[in-house]
Amino acid sequence: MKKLFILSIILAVPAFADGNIETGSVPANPAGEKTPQQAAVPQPEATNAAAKETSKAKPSGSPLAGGAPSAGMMPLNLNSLGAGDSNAIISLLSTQGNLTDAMGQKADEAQVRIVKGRFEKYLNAQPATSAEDLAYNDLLVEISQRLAGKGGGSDDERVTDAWRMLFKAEGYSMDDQLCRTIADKVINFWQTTRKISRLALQNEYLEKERKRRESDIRSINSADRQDFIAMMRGKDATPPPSREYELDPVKKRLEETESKLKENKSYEASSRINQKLDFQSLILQFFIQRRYYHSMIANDFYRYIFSAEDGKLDGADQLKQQMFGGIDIKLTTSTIDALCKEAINDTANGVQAADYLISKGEYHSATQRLMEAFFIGEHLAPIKTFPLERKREILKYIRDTDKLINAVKVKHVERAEEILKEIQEYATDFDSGQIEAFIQTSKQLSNLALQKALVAAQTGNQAGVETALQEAVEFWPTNPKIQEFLSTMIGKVDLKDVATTDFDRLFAQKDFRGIFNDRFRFAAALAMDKSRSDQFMEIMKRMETIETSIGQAKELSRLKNNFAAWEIIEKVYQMYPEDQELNRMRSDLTLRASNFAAAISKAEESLQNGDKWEALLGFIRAKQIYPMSSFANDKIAGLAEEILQNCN
Amino acid sequence: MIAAAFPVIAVAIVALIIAFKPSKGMSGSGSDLPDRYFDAPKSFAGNSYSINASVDSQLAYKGGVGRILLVQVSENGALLPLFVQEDTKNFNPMTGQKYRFAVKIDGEGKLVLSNFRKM
Repeated sequence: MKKLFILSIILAVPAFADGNIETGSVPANPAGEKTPQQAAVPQPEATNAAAKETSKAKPSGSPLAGGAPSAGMMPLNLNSLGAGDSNAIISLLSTQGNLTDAMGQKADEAQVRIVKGRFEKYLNAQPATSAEDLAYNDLLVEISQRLAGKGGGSDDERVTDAWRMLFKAEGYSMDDQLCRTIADKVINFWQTTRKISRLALQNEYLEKERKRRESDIRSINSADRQDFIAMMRGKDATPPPSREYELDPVKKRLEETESKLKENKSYEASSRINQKLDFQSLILQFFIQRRYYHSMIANDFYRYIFSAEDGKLDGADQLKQQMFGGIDIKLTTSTIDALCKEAINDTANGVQAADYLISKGEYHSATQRLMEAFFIGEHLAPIKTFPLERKREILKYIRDTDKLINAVKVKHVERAEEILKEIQEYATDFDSGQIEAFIQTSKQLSNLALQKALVAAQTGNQAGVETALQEAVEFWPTNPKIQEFLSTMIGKVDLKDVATTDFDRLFAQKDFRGIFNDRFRFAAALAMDKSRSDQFMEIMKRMETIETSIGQAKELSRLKNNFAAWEIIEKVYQMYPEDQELNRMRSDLTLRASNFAAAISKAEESLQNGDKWEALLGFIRAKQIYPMSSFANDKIAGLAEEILQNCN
Repeated sequence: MIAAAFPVIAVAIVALIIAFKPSKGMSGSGSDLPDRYFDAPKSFAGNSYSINASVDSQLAYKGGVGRILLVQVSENGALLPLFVQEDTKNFNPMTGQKYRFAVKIDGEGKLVLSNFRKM
């Protein structure tokens, strides 16, 4: 039974819970005048205005709504949604997210999937508008109306006619042989009734038989008593033998008769009760299966078959609890009948409202209304005949909201914005305000977290960077600024590390030119590194000297003044002999100014050997080669002074 | 009177001739300093040579010690340093002035002026 109730999952949106299916937005149905008879027998199509009245008159908390919760169920009511919590949005966006069963219990994920699948299957199904479908719908109405009295005749005639029509309805595939089940129950009742009639005749006979056996017993007992009185009158008279032996077979027959009689009466009583319970179960089963017409037809048969009997439904305590909660109410066949009619009306109204809302572009409400109608009256004509193109429009909306849900779930803000825009273009009633707020808030919080990460990075707070970045990703994983930030940071970290390593390596190798060649990278990377920065500056000064001398030497060499070029290079070389470029140029110029270079070299060698005069001679020879040689002139003057100093 | 003064004049002339008698090496018209001197001056220590040269410049001077002149050999234009001791008398070189120098190479290979004659 409980499983069947789960199958009867219905939407518990507040509008439905309040019994207000937005009929106010639907143009009033002009077919408001109906006969009471028609009102009592609802039409499957949305032509039943009397039923609409019933719907309007129904109390708040419709039984079919199952007392479903209404709080927080307004579409896109985000309440106090936190920026980081998109679950509420997802729940509210989901048109299937608010499903509850008849007990008001929220449907679990598996149930929602089943329901969603069924609803989507319905939305893609061709409408049941074939002649056969329409004929079947008409026939069900006809059966119901015949039982209600249409066409006149006695009760037996109408029951018999309706019973015959059940076999006709059974022939339609969409009936699923439910009418045959009703017809079988009716036949079963009739057969049982005949059997009970036969048992009544048999009981009459058995009653007579019992009376006869009782009479026989009385006769035997009377004869026995006469014999005993006669014996007591004579003193020496011998007591006559007892007539007990005559009584035994008679008593046995009497017992057998009484047992049979009791058995027959018991069968009569129990079979009636069982039949009643069977019928009641059938009525309830049809109701739960949302086969409202079948439920009403079975109900009508029940009332004729078990006329003048109590209509209270036994064994339906659970249903009563689910439908009416703690209210002490008697659940009768009439109650079920009223509930069926109300469901039929609600379905018709829901479909009509959905149709109207679609025409106005209010797809969110239309989807809700159609879902409600579908889960109340899946097998009713208004649902089955709803046009496919309308259903496809609903399906598009559902798919778009599903996409939006997925985007919000993964916090793909750009995608959510894109889909939101699409939905807004055609769904006029889509409340985008809170989604937009969610998107904006996500963006802002993500960017704020990025700023925090930047500040942390500037202060060298690695843990702070990680935490802030994690926060930024959490709010908006696809935030393009995160990627930018990471690229910058990774670039910076990498550059600094690599540059430091490179600098240390080149410095150890005394490859100052290598450092000079990549001076811009090192300058940026080592700016905050005091010790390396100082080393770097020294190297830059050294390289400036070298580069200047190389530049001058190149120019002098171009002017064919190779001695001067060599001399400039040689001076710098003596200070910084490790520079490869300087070495290369020195070698080159040494060839071009070989005699001058050789003189200087020889002089240097003499000087190193302590032969100052010889050195002086060498420098003078060099001067003679290149009179402008400052190198030679300086040395000459210096050496001359030294020589005199050493003379006594 | 003239005859009485003749012997005095003659002695003076002889004395002058003796005084200005060119030493060995200075008797020629050019410098006889060997070229290898530039490469290994110590190898010629103790030798004396005469050099015709003009004064180029004074490289250094130290009171009580002397000076080092840079002279240019007339024959080949080679520049040479020349050490002139402080006590060399009557030697007042001027730049460009040509001399015939009598030099001697000391133990350090230095060219030391031993005599000179203005050209």
